[in-house]
Amino acid sequence: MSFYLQAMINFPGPEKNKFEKRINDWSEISPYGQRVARNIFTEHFLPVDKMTELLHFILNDPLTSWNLFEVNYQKVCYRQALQGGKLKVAQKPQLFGAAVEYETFLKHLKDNYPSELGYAGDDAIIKDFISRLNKGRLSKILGQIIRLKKFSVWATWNENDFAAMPFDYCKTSIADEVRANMGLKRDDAEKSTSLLLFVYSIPNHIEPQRPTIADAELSQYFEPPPPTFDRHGWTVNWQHEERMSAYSMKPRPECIHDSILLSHLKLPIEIRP
Amino acid sequence: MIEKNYYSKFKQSLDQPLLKYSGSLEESNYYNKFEQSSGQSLLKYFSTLDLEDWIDFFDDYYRHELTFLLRILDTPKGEDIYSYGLIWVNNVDSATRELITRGNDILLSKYIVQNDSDLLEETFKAIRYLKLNVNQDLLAQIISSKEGKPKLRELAAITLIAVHENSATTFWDNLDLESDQFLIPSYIAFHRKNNPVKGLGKLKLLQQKPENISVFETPILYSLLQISTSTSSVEEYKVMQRKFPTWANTFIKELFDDYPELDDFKNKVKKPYEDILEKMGIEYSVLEDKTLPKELMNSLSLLIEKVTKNPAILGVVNQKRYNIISPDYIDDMKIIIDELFVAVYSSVNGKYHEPPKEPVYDIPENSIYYDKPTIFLYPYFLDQDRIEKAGVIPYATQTSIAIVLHKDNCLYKKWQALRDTAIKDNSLENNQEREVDIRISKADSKKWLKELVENIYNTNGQIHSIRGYVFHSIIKQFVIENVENDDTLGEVLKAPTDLSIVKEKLVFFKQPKVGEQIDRNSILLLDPSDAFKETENGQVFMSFLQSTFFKVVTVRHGLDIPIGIGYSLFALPRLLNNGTWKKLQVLMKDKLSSHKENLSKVGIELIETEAISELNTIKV
Repeated sequence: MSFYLQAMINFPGPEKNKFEKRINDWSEISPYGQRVARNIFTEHFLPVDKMTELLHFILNDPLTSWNLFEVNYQKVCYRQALQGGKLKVAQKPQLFGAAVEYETFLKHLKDNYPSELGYAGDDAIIKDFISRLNKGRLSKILGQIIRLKKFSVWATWNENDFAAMPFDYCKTSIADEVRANMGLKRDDAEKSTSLLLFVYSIPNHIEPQRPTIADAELSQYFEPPPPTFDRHGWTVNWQHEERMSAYSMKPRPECIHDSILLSHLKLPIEIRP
Repeated sequence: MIEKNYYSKFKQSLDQPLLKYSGSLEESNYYNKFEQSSGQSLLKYFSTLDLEDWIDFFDDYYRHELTFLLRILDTPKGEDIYSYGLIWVNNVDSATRELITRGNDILLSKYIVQNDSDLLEETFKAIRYLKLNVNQDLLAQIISSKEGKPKLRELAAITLIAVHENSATTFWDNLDLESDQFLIPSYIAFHRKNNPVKGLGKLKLLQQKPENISVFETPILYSLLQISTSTSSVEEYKVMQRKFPTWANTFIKELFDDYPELDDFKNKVKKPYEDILEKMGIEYSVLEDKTLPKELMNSLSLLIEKVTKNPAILGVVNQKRYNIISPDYIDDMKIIIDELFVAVYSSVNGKYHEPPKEPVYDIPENSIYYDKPTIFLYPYFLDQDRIEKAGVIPYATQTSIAIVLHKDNCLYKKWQALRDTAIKDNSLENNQEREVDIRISKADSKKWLKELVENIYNTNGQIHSIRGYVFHSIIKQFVIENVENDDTLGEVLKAPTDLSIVKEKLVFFKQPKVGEQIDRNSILLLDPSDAFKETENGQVFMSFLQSTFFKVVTVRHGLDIPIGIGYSLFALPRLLNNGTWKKLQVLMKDKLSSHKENLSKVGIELIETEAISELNTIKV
């Protein structure tokens, strides 16, 4: 039984109908509604009490504006982030991999580490910093200060060998092959920026979690794994196109975890054009 | 600690209250345009916004009013509107960027009036990321405002540099960096391209290590890289660096490790032997200490040479425990040596806890003690044989040598003549027999000794000495420096005789058999202290001396052999650091000062004043 159905047990019959109508209405007027509606019935990692809270919010939020509703839905999701439970794998992967758009990482550094890296108008200092990571170099002090991302990180690993490199599945060195496998945003690919591939170990005090609809918030390229599968998440691949015929494309294992310090990176990082 | 702080911020971000519906929700104009632009690209939609729209757009963005922005700025999995949203806006055309800039000028002014730090910080982020050429006077106003929060003023400074890299130097010069030290990293960052030496010069204002040192890393790094491109800047830097606080110099050294691109600069500013001293744990200031005795400086030169040739010996140099050799055979110095032992032990091995002493009577030059860090507490004579592997912290010099020679030896007669002349020409009182006769000049003494050696060469005599003493080596040194035909010395200089068999082996002590012809051309070298019967050995030597035939003279050899606390070269680092050598030298000079006169009689002169060498330099 899905967690949606388990949570719905606590709702009277009319409430269930009301909920389904509401989520149906949302999906008709908004792409965000479509994404949530597609996933909420199959979510099974988010604990039932958290699921109940989410359903209550959707059912009872009195706002008549879907715009406001979506902002609030996102806030409820923030509160339920990283609740999907530990990975149920025989052995914790030794190496995790995260793919981040160059421009996103640059903005992250510029916004969150302005005193350290952010004062060059032409971004030369940040570009140098990323270039050094690509050459396998990171200063001790900055490695202990700078995080991979501000909040949580979506990550994958090598499902065949927990000690192997997470992106070994690629048949090409094209960034889009990783994007297509990881379910990154397609618009970014169209803007032709580079993709950064980070490989790292996760320190013991951080527990990678199975991803949930709350972690995905309103974003594309997420769906809960099949109801009978409880080990981890799976990435959602891009829809196949002919130009992707050289790619090795299939859902990859997926988790989400608190951000890590760059000192945990396995250097050098890879920059894929 | 950092992670906890970060995590608490993360948690706070989860506690944002849900928006309340107020009954009517008036759609902003920019959102109306968005809805009407359905199917168009986002960039095309942005080009339809006017100044008012952009002001509303960014005001909502900064205030976290995302009601209309959420649908416009769709974000990918794992991102939020703040980490990602403006990436869309960054691609606008120049006309639109100009509108955005004007809108942000207006918002900056508004937030300054409202004195809203949070909104200003958000605005700075967008200005930096989108490279908006906003009114720099507004940023300058925030930076200069003494009432403003330091963090906000620092971020305004960073933003000013990011968007107005060539802002007026006078503005930066007029900042009160003495009190607003949080602006120093920005000051350095501003000057990093055009005048990096000037920027780094402000480091001297920070005598205490700043709490957040990471903000200095890239400003200093890029300043150093820029300095590296100009010879004159490098020279200016070398002078200025001397005024840097210790933390800054240490920090810069750490940058050298982390940034190979600084190798060129490092080589240009590197002081001689800096690396090797660091590897041996020797403070660089040692090289600049003009009071360092030449004996220690010479040892340092030798040690550097050895390590340069064979870096593997660094393991020995950095050995944790030093050996300390204590002379239990010098009874009359026992108290002094015991005190010295404690002082040396605590200086080189840490807290004193009565370790087993290592009493050794005689340490030959091939001893393993010279292959590890060892300190010799007995008065260590730094003769020519030892100088390659050992040194001394000097507290005295050895000036004389006692010589046993036959009374009919022509040189003994010459010596008597010298004395007679000296007595006539000198008002000093007659000194005791066998005492160093200071009435005979050093020059005459050396000349006489030279003649003595030459006489031995010519008469097939022999030079004897006692094992465990340095006089065998001192006579070699004397001959090398003073006698032209020094090759012959090998033929006449006998191996030192063991103390236990001198009476059986050496003519000077043996009772001659009836009719035996006594060798008149050979001599025996003795320690003046022994000759003067100051020591136990001396008492024995003198009582067995065949005084009917042999006399003792004590002559100044003119070599000034350093005496002091001895050490193997590998023990040098800990003696050099923290002025340890000086403390030990003072201790010994203090303890021996009451013995000055007696020591002088046996040819040992205490170092009178602070041993200030002429400008010592390392010679490798």
